Amino acid sequence: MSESKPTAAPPPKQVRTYQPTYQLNPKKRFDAEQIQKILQRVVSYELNEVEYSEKQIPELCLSLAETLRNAIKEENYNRYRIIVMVSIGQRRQQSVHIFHSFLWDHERDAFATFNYENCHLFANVVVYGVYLD
Amino acid sequence: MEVKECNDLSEENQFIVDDVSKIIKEAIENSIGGTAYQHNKVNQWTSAVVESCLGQLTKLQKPYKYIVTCTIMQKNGAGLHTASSCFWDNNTDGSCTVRWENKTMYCIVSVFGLGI
Repeated sequence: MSESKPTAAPPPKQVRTYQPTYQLNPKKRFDAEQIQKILQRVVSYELNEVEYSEKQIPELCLSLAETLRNAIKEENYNRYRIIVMVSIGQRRQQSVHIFHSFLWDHERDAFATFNYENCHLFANVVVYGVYLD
Repeated sequence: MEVKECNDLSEENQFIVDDVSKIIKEAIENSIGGTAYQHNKVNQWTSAVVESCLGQLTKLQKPYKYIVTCTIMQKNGAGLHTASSCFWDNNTDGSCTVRWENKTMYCIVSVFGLGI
Protein backbone atom coordinates (compact mmCIF):
# COMPACT_ATOMS: atom_id res chain seq x y z
CA MET A 1 0.00 0.00 0.00
CA SER A 2 1.54 3.34 -0.92
CA GLU A 3 0.85 6.94 0.06
CA SER A 4 -2.54 7.60 -1.39
CA LYS A 5 -3.51 10.48 -3.64
CA PRO A 6 -6.07 9.44 -6.25
CA THR A 7 -4.61 11.59 -9.02
CA ALA A 8 -0.82 11.47 -8.48
CA ALA A 9 1.53 8.52 -8.36
CA PRO A 10 4.11 7.99 -5.60
CA PRO A 11 7.48 9.73 -6.22
CA PRO A 12 10.16 7.43 -7.64
CA LYS A 13 12.57 7.66 -4.70
CA GLN A 14 10.04 6.91 -1.99
CA VAL A 15 11.17 4.32 0.54
CA ARG A 16 8.42 4.59 3.17
CA THR A 17 4.91 3.44 2.56
CA TYR A 18 1.90 4.77 4.45
CA GLN A 19 -1.66 3.75 4.79
CA PRO A 20 -4.06 6.41 3.61
CA THR A 21 -5.77 8.30 6.41
CA TYR A 22 -8.40 10.16 4.33
CA GLN A 23 -8.09 12.97 6.81
CA LEU A 24 -9.10 16.27 5.24
CA ASN A 25 -8.63 18.63 8.16
CA PRO A 26 -5.93 18.97 10.80
CA LYS A 27 -6.66 17.44 14.20
CA LYS A 28 -5.71 20.68 15.92
CA ARG A 29 -6.30 23.96 14.09
CA PHE A 30 -3.65 26.66 14.25
CA ASP A 31 -4.91 28.75 17.16
CA ALA A 32 -3.81 32.36 16.72
CA GLU A 33 -4.71 33.42 20.26
CA GLN A 34 -2.81 30.69 21.98
CA ILE A 35 0.24 31.35 19.80
CA GLN A 36 0.03 35.04 20.56
CA LYS A 37 0.17 34.30 24.27
CA ILE A 38 3.30 32.24 23.74
CA LEU A 39 4.86 35.03 21.67
CA GLN A 40 4.04 37.59 24.34
CA ARG A 41 5.57 35.50 27.07
CA VAL A 42 8.77 34.56 25.26
CA VAL A 43 9.48 37.91 23.60
CA SER A 44 8.82 40.01 26.71
CA TYR A 45 11.11 37.75 28.68
CA GLU A 46 13.94 37.70 26.12
CA LEU A 47 13.92 41.37 25.22
CA ASN A 48 13.31 42.82 28.66
CA GLU A 49 15.75 45.70 29.28
CA VAL A 50 17.89 44.80 26.25
CA GLU A 51 19.76 47.66 24.59
CA TYR A 52 20.36 47.91 20.87
CA SER A 53 23.97 47.02 20.05
CA GLU A 54 25.29 46.33 16.54
CA LYS A 55 27.09 43.18 17.62
CA GLN A 56 24.58 41.45 19.84
CA ILE A 57 21.28 42.14 18.16
CA PRO A 58 21.79 40.02 15.01
CA GLU A 59 22.52 36.93 17.09
CA LEU A 60 19.73 37.73 19.50
CA CYS A 61 17.31 38.11 16.60
CA LEU A 62 18.24 34.74 15.14
CA SER A 63 18.19 32.94 18.48
CA LEU A 64 14.81 34.46 19.31
CA ALA A 65 13.41 33.18 16.02
CA GLU A 66 14.71 29.69 16.75
CA THR A 67 13.43 29.73 20.33
CA LEU A 68 9.98 30.74 19.15
CA ARG A 69 9.97 28.09 16.46
CA ASN A 70 10.90 25.41 18.99
CA ALA A 71 8.26 26.63 21.43
CA ILE A 72 5.62 26.39 18.74
CA LYS A 73 6.80 22.95 17.70
CA GLU A 74 6.18 21.85 21.29
CA GLU A 75 2.52 22.60 20.73
CA ASN A 76 2.41 19.69 18.27
CA TYR A 77 0.45 21.15 15.40
CA ASN A 78 0.31 18.13 13.19
CA ARG A 79 0.68 18.68 9.40
CA TYR A 80 1.46 22.37 9.82
CA ARG A 81 4.49 24.17 8.45
CA ILE A 82 5.67 26.98 10.69
CA ILE A 83 7.34 30.23 9.63
CA VAL A 84 8.58 32.67 12.27
CA MET A 85 9.73 36.19 11.31
CA VAL A 86 11.38 38.46 13.85
CA SER A 87 12.30 42.10 13.15
CA ILE A 88 14.20 44.08 15.76
CA GLY A 89 14.99 47.75 15.19
CA GLN A 90 16.51 50.64 17.04
CA ARG A 91 14.17 53.35 18.27
CA ARG A 92 15.27 56.61 16.73
CA GLN A 93 12.16 58.60 15.94
CA GLN A 94 11.87 57.02 12.53
CA SER A 95 8.79 55.53 10.99
CA VAL A 96 8.46 51.88 10.03
CA HIS A 97 5.68 50.17 8.13
CA ILE A 98 5.35 46.43 7.88
CA PHE A 99 2.76 44.98 5.56
CA HIS A 100 2.03 41.40 4.56
CA SER A 101 -0.31 39.63 2.25
CA PHE A 102 -0.83 35.98 1.38
CA LEU A 103 -2.32 33.58 -1.06
CA TRP A 104 -3.49 30.58 0.93
CA ASP A 105 -6.39 28.60 2.32
CA HIS A 106 -7.86 30.86 4.98
CA GLU A 107 -9.91 28.11 6.60
CA ARG A 108 -6.87 26.11 7.60
CA ASP A 109 -3.95 28.53 7.54
CA ALA A 110 -3.51 31.33 10.06
CA PHE A 111 -1.01 33.76 11.50
CA ALA A 112 -0.29 35.44 14.84
CA THR A 113 1.65 38.65 15.50
CA PHE A 114 3.07 40.48 18.48
CA ASN A 115 4.68 43.92 18.79
CA TYR A 116 7.06 44.68 21.59
CA GLU A 117 8.71 47.97 22.57
CA ASN A 118 11.09 49.09 25.24
CA CYS A 119 12.93 52.38 25.48
CA HIS A 120 15.82 51.32 23.20
CA LEU A 121 14.30 49.07 20.62
CA PHE A 122 11.14 47.76 19.07
CA ALA A 123 10.45 44.23 17.89
CA ASN A 124 7.81 42.74 15.63
CA VAL A 125 7.18 39.01 15.53
CA VAL A 126 4.93 37.22 13.04
CA VAL A 127 4.23 33.49 13.03
CA TYR A 128 2.51 31.82 10.07
CA GLY A 129 1.04 28.32 10.18
CA VAL A 130 0.38 26.75 6.78
CA TYR A 131 -1.41 23.44 6.44
CA LEU A 132 -0.29 20.62 4.17
CA ASP A 133 -1.84 17.20 3.86
CA MET B 1 -6.15 3.44 -14.19
CA GLU B 2 -3.39 5.55 -15.69
CA VAL B 3 -0.48 6.28 -13.38
CA LYS B 4 1.90 9.16 -14.12
CA GLU B 5 5.41 9.62 -12.79
CA CYS B 6 5.50 12.52 -10.38
CA ASN B 7 8.98 13.75 -9.54
CA ASP B 8 9.07 16.17 -6.65
CA LEU B 9 12.20 17.91 -7.91
CA SER B 10 10.79 18.89 -11.30
CA GLU B 11 10.39 22.53 -12.41
CA GLU B 12 6.77 22.64 -11.36
CA ASN B 13 7.39 21.81 -7.77
CA GLN B 14 10.52 23.71 -6.93
CA PHE B 15 10.71 27.20 -5.56
CA ILE B 16 13.00 29.02 -7.99
CA VAL B 17 14.68 31.86 -6.14
CA ASP B 18 15.98 33.73 -9.20
CA ASP B 19 12.60 34.11 -10.88
CA VAL B 20 10.99 35.24 -7.68
CA SER B 21 13.68 37.77 -6.88
CA LYS B 22 13.35 39.27 -10.37
CA ILE B 23 9.62 39.63 -9.84
CA ILE B 24 10.11 41.34 -6.49
CA LYS B 25 12.69 43.80 -7.85
CA GLU B 26 10.38 44.80 -10.68
CA ALA B 27 7.48 45.27 -8.31
CA ILE B 28 9.52 47.53 -6.03
CA GLU B 29 10.94 49.59 -8.90
CA ASN B 30 7.51 50.11 -10.40
CA SER B 31 5.82 51.20 -7.18
CA ILE B 32 8.40 53.20 -5.23
CA GLY B 33 11.21 53.53 -7.79
CA GLY B 34 11.95 57.23 -7.78
CA THR B 35 10.08 58.50 -4.76
CA ALA B 36 11.18 60.02 -1.46
CA TYR B 37 9.80 58.94 1.88
CA GLN B 38 6.37 60.42 2.53
CA HIS B 39 4.52 59.35 5.63
CA ASN B 40 1.04 59.63 4.23
CA LYS B 41 1.87 57.62 1.14
CA VAL B 42 3.66 54.70 2.74
CA ASN B 43 0.52 52.68 3.33
CA GLN B 44 -0.35 52.96 -0.32
CA TRP B 45 3.15 51.98 -1.36
CA THR B 46 3.39 48.92 0.83
CA SER B 47 0.09 47.58 -0.39
CA ALA B 48 1.00 48.38 -4.01
CA VAL B 49 4.30 46.50 -3.77
CA VAL B 50 2.71 43.49 -2.12
CA GLU B 51 -0.27 43.33 -4.47
CA SER B 52 1.89 43.54 -7.54
CA CYS B 53 4.24 40.84 -6.20
CA LEU B 54 1.36 38.50 -5.47
CA GLY B 55 -0.19 39.20 -8.87
CA GLN B 56 3.01 38.32 -10.71
CA LEU B 57 3.58 35.25 -8.56
CA THR B 58 0.16 33.85 -9.34
CA LYS B 59 0.91 34.31 -13.04
CA LEU B 60 3.68 31.74 -12.65
CA GLN B 61 0.86 29.20 -12.31
CA LYS B 62 2.65 26.98 -9.82
CA PRO B 63 0.93 24.85 -7.14
CA TYR B 64 2.16 27.12 -4.37
CA LYS B 65 0.87 29.10 -1.42
CA TYR B 66 2.63 32.46 -1.02
CA ILE B 67 3.29 34.80 1.88
CA VAL B 68 4.66 38.25 0.98
CA THR B 69 5.97 40.65 3.64
CA CYS B 70 7.11 44.21 2.95
CA THR B 71 8.88 46.47 5.45
CA ILE B 72 9.50 50.14 4.64
CA MET B 73 11.65 52.16 7.01
CA GLN B 74 12.71 55.78 6.92
CA LYS B 75 16.47 56.37 6.80
CA ASN B 76 17.42 57.82 10.09
CA GLY B 77 20.66 56.22 11.11
CA ALA B 78 18.75 53.59 13.06
CA GLY B 79 19.49 49.91 12.72
CA LEU B 80 17.05 47.15 11.82
CA HIS B 81 17.57 43.39 11.87
CA THR B 82 15.22 40.75 10.58
CA ALA B 83 15.52 37.01 11.16
CA SER B 84 13.27 34.17 10.21
CA SER B 85 13.14 30.55 11.25
CA CYS B 86 11.06 28.03 9.35
CA PHE B 87 9.84 24.49 9.77
CA TRP B 88 9.04 23.06 6.34
CA ASP B 89 10.13 20.72 3.57
CA ASN B 90 13.31 21.90 1.86
CA ASN B 91 12.54 20.14 -1.40
CA THR B 92 9.35 21.97 -2.20
CA ASP B 93 9.38 25.14 -0.08
CA GLY B 94 11.63 28.16 -0.17
CA SER B 95 12.00 31.84 0.57
CA CYS B 96 13.51 34.87 -1.10
CA THR B 97 14.33 38.25 0.47
CA VAL B 98 15.18 41.41 -1.45
CA ARG B 99 16.67 44.52 0.14
CA TRP B 100 16.30 47.82 -1.68
CA GLU B 101 17.15 51.36 -0.70
CA ASN B 102 17.18 54.89 -1.95
CA LYS B 103 18.28 58.15 -0.33
CA THR B 104 15.38 58.40 2.09
CA MET B 105 14.17 54.91 2.87
CA TYR B 106 14.86 51.19 3.05
CA CYS B 107 12.54 48.56 1.69
CA ILE B 108 12.76 44.86 2.56
CA VAL B 109 10.49 42.37 0.80
CA SER B 110 10.34 38.69 1.75
CA VAL B 111 8.45 36.05 -0.19
CA PHE B 112 7.83 32.58 1.24
CA GLY B 113 6.59 29.91 -1.12
CA LEU B 114 5.06 26.73 0.27
CA GLY B 115 4.28 23.85 -2.04
CA ILE B 116 0.91 22.21 -2.02
